[in-house]
This record gives sequence, structure tokens and C-alpha cells, in this order.
Amino acid sequence: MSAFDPTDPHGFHAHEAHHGHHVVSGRTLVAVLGALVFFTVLTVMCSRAEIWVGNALHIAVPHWINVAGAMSIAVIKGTLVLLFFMQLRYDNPLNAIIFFFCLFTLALFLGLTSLDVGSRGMVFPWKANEVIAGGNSVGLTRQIGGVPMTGQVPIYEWAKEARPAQLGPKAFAAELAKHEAEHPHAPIVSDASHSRPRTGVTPGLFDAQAPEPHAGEAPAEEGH
Amino acid sequence: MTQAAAHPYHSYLAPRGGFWGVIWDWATTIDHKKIGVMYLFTILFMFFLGGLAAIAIRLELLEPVRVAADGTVTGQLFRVPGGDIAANNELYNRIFTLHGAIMVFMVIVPSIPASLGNFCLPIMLGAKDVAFPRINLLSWYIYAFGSLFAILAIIGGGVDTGWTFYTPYSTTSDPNHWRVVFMIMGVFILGFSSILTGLNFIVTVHKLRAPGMGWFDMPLFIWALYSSAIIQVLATPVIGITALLLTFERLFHVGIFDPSMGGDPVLFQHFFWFYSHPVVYIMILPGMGVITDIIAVHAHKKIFGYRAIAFASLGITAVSFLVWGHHMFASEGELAAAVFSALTFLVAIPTAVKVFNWIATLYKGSISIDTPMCYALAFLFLFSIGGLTGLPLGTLATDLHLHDSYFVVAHFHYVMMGGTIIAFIGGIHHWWPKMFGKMYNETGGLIGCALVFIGFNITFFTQFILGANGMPRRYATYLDKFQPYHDISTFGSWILLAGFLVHLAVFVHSLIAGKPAPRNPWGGLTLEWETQSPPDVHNFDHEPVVTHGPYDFDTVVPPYCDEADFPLPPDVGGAHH
Amino acid sequence: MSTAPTREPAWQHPTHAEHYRSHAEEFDACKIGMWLFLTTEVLLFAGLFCAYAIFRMKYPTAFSNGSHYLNSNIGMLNTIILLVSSYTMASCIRYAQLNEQRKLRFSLLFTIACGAAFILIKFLFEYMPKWAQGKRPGYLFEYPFATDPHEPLWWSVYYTTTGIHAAHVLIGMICIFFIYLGARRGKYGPGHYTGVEIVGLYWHLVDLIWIFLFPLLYLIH
Repeated sequence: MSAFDPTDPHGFHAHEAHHGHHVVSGRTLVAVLGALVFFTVLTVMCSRAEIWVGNALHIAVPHWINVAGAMSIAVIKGTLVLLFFMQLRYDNPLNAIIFFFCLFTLALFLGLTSLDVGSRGMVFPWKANEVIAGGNSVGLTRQIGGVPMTGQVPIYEWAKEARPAQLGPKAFAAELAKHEAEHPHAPIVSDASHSRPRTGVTPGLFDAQAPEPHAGEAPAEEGH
Repeated sequence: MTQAAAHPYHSYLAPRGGFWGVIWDWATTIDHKKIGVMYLFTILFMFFLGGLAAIAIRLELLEPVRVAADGTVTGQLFRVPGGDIAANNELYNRIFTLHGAIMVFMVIVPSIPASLGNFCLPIMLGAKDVAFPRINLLSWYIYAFGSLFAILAIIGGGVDTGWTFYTPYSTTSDPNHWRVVFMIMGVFILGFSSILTGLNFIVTVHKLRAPGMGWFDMPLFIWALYSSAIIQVLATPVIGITALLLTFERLFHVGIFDPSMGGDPVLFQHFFWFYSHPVVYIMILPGMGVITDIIAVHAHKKIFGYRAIAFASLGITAVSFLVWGHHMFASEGELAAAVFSALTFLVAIPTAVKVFNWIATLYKGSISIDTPMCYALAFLFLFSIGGLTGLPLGTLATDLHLHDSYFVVAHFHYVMMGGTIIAFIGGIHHWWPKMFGKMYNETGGLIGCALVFIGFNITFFTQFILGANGMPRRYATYLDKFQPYHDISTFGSWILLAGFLVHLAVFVHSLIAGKPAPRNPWGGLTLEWETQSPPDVHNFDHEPVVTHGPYDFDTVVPPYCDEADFPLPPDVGGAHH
Repeated sequence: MSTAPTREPAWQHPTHAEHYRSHAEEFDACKIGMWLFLTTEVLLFAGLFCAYAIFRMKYPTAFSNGSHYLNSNIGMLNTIILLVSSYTMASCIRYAQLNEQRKLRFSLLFTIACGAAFILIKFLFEYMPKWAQGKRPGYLFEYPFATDPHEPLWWSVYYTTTGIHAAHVLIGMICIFFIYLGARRGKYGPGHYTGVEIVGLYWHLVDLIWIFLFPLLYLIH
């Protein structure tokens, strides 16, 4: 390892030919001041000009021109102050990096907060409708065999109509038969070896109101 | 490394002058070691204050409030004289606000950086002091002054808004609005203390490293402190402006957070959490740094994945600024909530990198089971639980059920207390011989660790169950079905308190009658183990030159240690020695 | 140390704190520290800019009305005053580097004077007339000719933002005054001008913030 200078072990000043720091020339400073004043007057004139143009020509100048113009001139002025008055141009780049991180954090803060506040009134279209069990198929475009979605129905209702129309009566009957063969309805009456609960009935719901069954008759059956 | 005995050794703790001389010496010191010790004692004092409030909370929650048929009220332990149920519940609100505000702002945020960090950072870097020693002292005075403001608010009756000071309650409640103003101004002032500490650390790390110490030769504790300092500098000003705006709203009713004037109360939450989320990373990053050093030294093994841990610290810093909206899932807009939820998952990545690296470091290490290592192992367990329980909270759908329940309380206690405080206590034990030149009683330390670990888990694990079953947070009373869990939790808090008291006794005993500590009791390789215990006033008698890495346990025998105690592995350079 | 009646100025024998290896290192460290502090100041104003942006988004009419109440001529004058003060502050560093002590002291005082002018103009020609007319923040609002219900909020944003900025101008002026006192004792020169540099950075930041505040408050309608 080459010998290091104990007063500058990390070599920050190894490339400084002269002793001391950069002296910004007086002319540079005056020039920067002149530019800053010019831009100040310019930005005021621009904002007044926009109003004048709007009134004289009876047009509505888009708001973003006003904002973009004023902000870009402000950024130019700010950059001049940072680079020359605050000497970031002649300085250790670490200082510029520090300021960049600062601006980045500021942008994060403004950006994400605006994201929230600006989108508060927003309702997602797929949440905008009435809540239907099974969904209301908003945003869902399905076409099976040329049958499009109709209306706002849950998709399983749509399938009940779409499938027979798509397959045709004979093919659908075959599919229905296949379905019933695979999923036979459970018998609704109990036999000796299988007891069948009466489904679809809330237990005890009508106990207080059910009429006395006539003697010898089975209780009335509901649906299947 | 040369050994020059040119300068006589003056311990930094050696008193100069009589009683008032010593007081003046400490009050005007710019020695980072003394400032670190002052912070340590102030922080531990505030920790006990906040802990007393916690014990009070748990005592209150032993029984739910019940009103008998004849109107007698049972279950309210802390009662306002002449108050009704509502007034007593408000007293409970003041107690938990006190607990939260003290613990967050006065204990955990400054805990490791201001005490252990101030003490260790310059020595670890081979410097004589931090970059701005007088600003360091100023930061302690600002801390004391800010804490005084908060204590004045508490003496004035306290604040019942919760430590989060949500509007509109914090801006409209309480006819005595000076209490809120004093408390929030205390927070504002404490923020400056944090900023100045962070600023000091960043400049010190950039400018005052010893010759030969590049960025990747620093101990990882420094990387953690550096990353935490970046967050301190970038995030703390936002709580400053939040405090100012809250004060203006309170005193002059400017309307920024008042919907009746067109303001937005949720805007306060954005402002508040933009700081208060990064602040939890200010809390945990130094703790992780302490754990890294403890594990490497007490397992006597080179840290696994040095650069990964270093960059993970910076990664956590970066991600910490992106996720604050996850505290506001119940109050912010949907799009923002979805965005923040997605971003929140990112923070698990660098954190997991660190956890796996620690475990890999332990593997095939020569682990000595002493108090710092026990605390490091406890950290791994407790912080992992805390981090993993952050996942259902970061997931938008599940958070809507868990928000403002005891699940959240348990989660943040696992990460803040099971993480930072565990690391803090472990770090105090690890550097205690260096800081005070005395060894502590190892058996006492282990007993304390066991009590703290067991008590902590009993206290807070039951709170996960409570929260998942629907117990809301910040409630002074609850449904009867929760009482068994609350009672278990309170019982656990007593075990936790016993553990802390054991530690206090061990520390007091060590200061009075502890064995003198050697320079390097644990066999560490970082620069602080080369100084005397306690260090000389000027840290080193001349600038140290770094010739090995901070965790090169496989190639270097630790200095000032008996080689027989720390033999090198036979297959790696052992033959040289 | 000479025993002649005139002492050598202090800047010719600059000292540095003993934990630094050289004066140059201390200077660099002080600059980095100051930039970090400026970062915190910018982020303090970040909250105010955020509040401004949010409420402008929500209540464009109120904010448009509000900016029309402000006199952009006075604003432009104040901006130019601050820019000139920034120029004189930057020149102070130059004069210190070139050992032009009289110009250094004059420029420091001129900078303070510009700051005072800024605050006076703001107070006398902006705050006081507006306050008297009832254009006040929040619940203190009494102006009878407002056309939008959220105009009090505009005034809240206006007063807090410009008020906190004016407080920083005041703090800057006090700091520059202390530097001036040091300059009178010959503390600053080519060998040592750290204090001038650091306070100069703070003053430029105050100016930088105003460069952004001025169009946001006065010019965007």
C-alpha cells in the first residue's frame, strides 16, 4: 500500500493542485444574480401574460401551463442558487447527493400523500354496483360460442342460460343426463338403511306455527 | 499495531475535583463517552417511568368494569376522585398515552443510538470523538428539555389522545389545551435531539474513520447506526412540522385538520406516519446492529454475508419511507391502501436477509452462552415473531379485521420491545465491561434474561390471541370472555418486571463491587476492545491503524486475550500462531 | 504570538478541534453537517408544501381567489430583495477568501439589512393590511367579501407557510449577526471562513425556499 498522507488518509484532497478551496469569481456571482432577477421578472410577467391572454382572446388558458411555467422557472432559479451561490458545482459531490436524497424524500411524501387524497372519492367500477351474491359480472366479458354476457347477473346464472343456447337442445340434454348420472339427487325419503335430512329447512322455524298434521298423513314435503 | 505508553492513562470516568467539580465536569462535557453514559441513565430512568405506566395498565386490565344490579361498579382500579365510569376510563386513556409517548419518543428512539452508539461509534472508527462534540452535548440537553415538557404535560394531568395524537380528537378535546400543546411541543423538541444525533453520526462515519478502515472494514453496528442516522435526518423534520401544525390548529384553530373548515383529519395521519413509520426503523436498525456484533463476537465466528447485511441496512432505510400508509388502512383511500400494502411486503426482504445471515453466522460457531448471547438468541426468536405477525397486518384484507386490536399491540411490542429493548439490554451487557470497567454477575444476568424472556412471551403472546379474537386496543374494559387472557398477560408483566429488577440489581452491584474488567473480556476484534476498560479520555493514545477486518475470527487472535482461550481453527492459519 | 500593538488576525492561525486531523477536514465535515441540517429544514417545509398541494387540489377556486388577493408586485420585490441578499452572502465568502475584510463586514450587514427589509415589507404591507381587513387564518377569519367557503383555509396555509419562512429569515439574520461580530474581531480570512460558509448555506436555503414559495402562493392562479 502506498504511503498515505496522515492529514488526508482518504485522499479527498489528493487531486487538489492548489491549496484551499475554489473561489467563485465576482463576475460569475453577478451574472447569476442577474439571471435570477431576470427569471423572477419573467415568471411574474408570464403569469400576468396568461391572464391577459385569457381575457383578451377570450380563451381559457389551461391551468397546467400556468403551473408548469411557474414551476419550471422556479426550478431553474433554484438550481442556479444551489449550483453557484451554495457552490454545489465546486464542492464535494457528497453534498449534492445529500440534497438529492432530500428532494427525493420530499417527492415521495408529496406523491404518495397526493395519491391518497386525490383518489379518495374514487370508487372502483367493479365495486360501484349493488352487491349481489356471486358477483354482478361487471367488467367480465365472456363469450362462449357467441353468447355474450347479458345484464348484470351472477356468472353462474349466466352459465345456466348460455350453455344450453350454445350446445343446442340435443347436446345439452346429453350433458344433462351425464350430469344426473354422476350427481344423482339424493332420495328425499328415508329408507331402512339411509336417513335423509330434510334440507333447505331452518330447524324449528315453523314449529310454533305448523298446523297439526292430520292423523295418518305424512308431513308436507318442501322442494328437493 | 504499535503500543505506545507515552500518555498516562486517565479513565474517562475518573472524577475531577470535588462534588461540584464532578457535576460541572459532567454537565459541560463534550466527551462522547460521558454523553453516552448520561443518555444511558436518562433513558433507563424514562424506561422505568414508562414501565410503571405499563404495569398500571396491566393492573387496570385485570378485571373488566362491571356494573352490578344495584349500581356498584367493580373493576376500575384507578379512579378519578369523584369521577364516574367515563372519567375513570379517561384516566386509563391518559395512562396508556403516557406509556406510549414516553416509550416511543423518550426511550426507544434514542435508546441504542444515543447511549451505546454515542459511546461506541467513535471508538469503533478509531476516532477521538464524534464530528461535532458540542452539538452532541446540545442534543442531550435538548433531550432533557423535551422530556421536561412532556413530564410537565403529564403533571398537568396528562393527555388522553393516545401517543398518535390523531385529529380531530387531539385538536378539539380537553378544555385545558395546554396539556396537548406541551406534550406535542415536547415531541417537537425531542425531534431536534434525534436530528442532531443522526447528523453527527453521518458526518463522523464519512470523515473520521481511522486510516485503513474503508467502508467495508467498519463493524456492522456502524452500518446500522449510519442507516438509522439517515432516517433520523430525513424523517424527523416531518414530525416537527406535524407538531407545529397541530399546535397551530389547537391554539389558533387554523383549520388544516378540521373538516368544518375544509381541512382533512386524515392528512394529519399522513404527516404523522410519514415520520412514525421510519421511526420504527430508527428503533430497530441499531438493535439489529448490536445483535450482529454480539452474535459475531460471542459465537466467535466471522459474520456471514457482511456486505449483504450492510446493504440490507441501507435497503431497510430506503423501503422504510415507502410504507407509512399501512398504518392508515382503515382511514385512507382504497388505491393508496392497495399501493401501500404492496410496498409493505418489500421490507421483509432485507430484514429476512439479515435474520438468515445471523443464523448462518451461529452455525458452526463457538457459541458462549453468556448474557449478551442469550439476549441475541432471544432477539432472533422474538423479532422473528414480531416481523412475521406484521404480515397479516400488512395485508390489506386481514388488517381491516386486526386494525386497532390487541394483535397490533402484540405485534409492535414484539418488534419494539422484543426487538429493540432486548437488543438494548444485550448491548448494555456486551459493552458494560468496556463502559464501566467492571464485570457484571453473569448468573444474575442469565436469570434476568430468562425472566425477561419468559415474562415477555407470557405477557404479549396472549395478546395475539386476544387481538385475533376481537379485543380492541386502548379499551379500559372488555367482554368477560377475554378476562383469562388479560389475567395471564398481567401475570406475565410481573415476571417481566422481576426480570428488569434483577438486571437493575446486577448493574448496581457491578458498579459497586464488580470485578475489574479486562480490555477484551469477550474476545472481540473491533477497535473498542483494544482500548482500556474503561477507555482513556482520548480513547486511543494515538490513531490506530486497522490491519484486519472487524470479524476476522478465523485468521486473527483477538488482542489482549489469552491465545489459549481463543485458538484459531486448526485448518485456518492456526499453525502461524 | 507577537507583542506588537497590532495583533495578527485570528484567521491566520486557525485552530481546529483536536479530534480532526486538519483544518481542511474540519471544514469539510462542517459543510457536510450543514447540508444535512439543510435537508431537515427542507423536509420541515415539505409538510407545508404538501398541505398546500393537497388543499389546492381539493379547493382550486378558493386557492385561486386567494392568490389574487396577494400583490405579486410586493412579492416580486421581496423575492428580488432576498436574491440580492443571497448574492451579497455568496460574496461574503469570496471576500473572506480574498481577505477583503471591509467588504466582508459590509456585505454581512447588507445581507442582514435585506433580511430586515424583507420582514418589514412583509409585515407592514402584507400581514398588517390583510389582518386588518379580516383575511385571517381559520376561525379568526372575518373578511366579508369572500366568495368561496374555503378561503379561510387558504389564509391558514398562507400565514403558516410564510410565517414559518419569516421565522427562518429571522433566525438567519441573527446567525449572520454573530458572524459579523466574529468578522469584526478578524476571525475570518483566507485561512478560515467556516462560519461564513455555514451561515451562508443556511441563508441561501432560506432564499431557495422563498424562490419556490413565491410562485406557488402569488403566481399560480
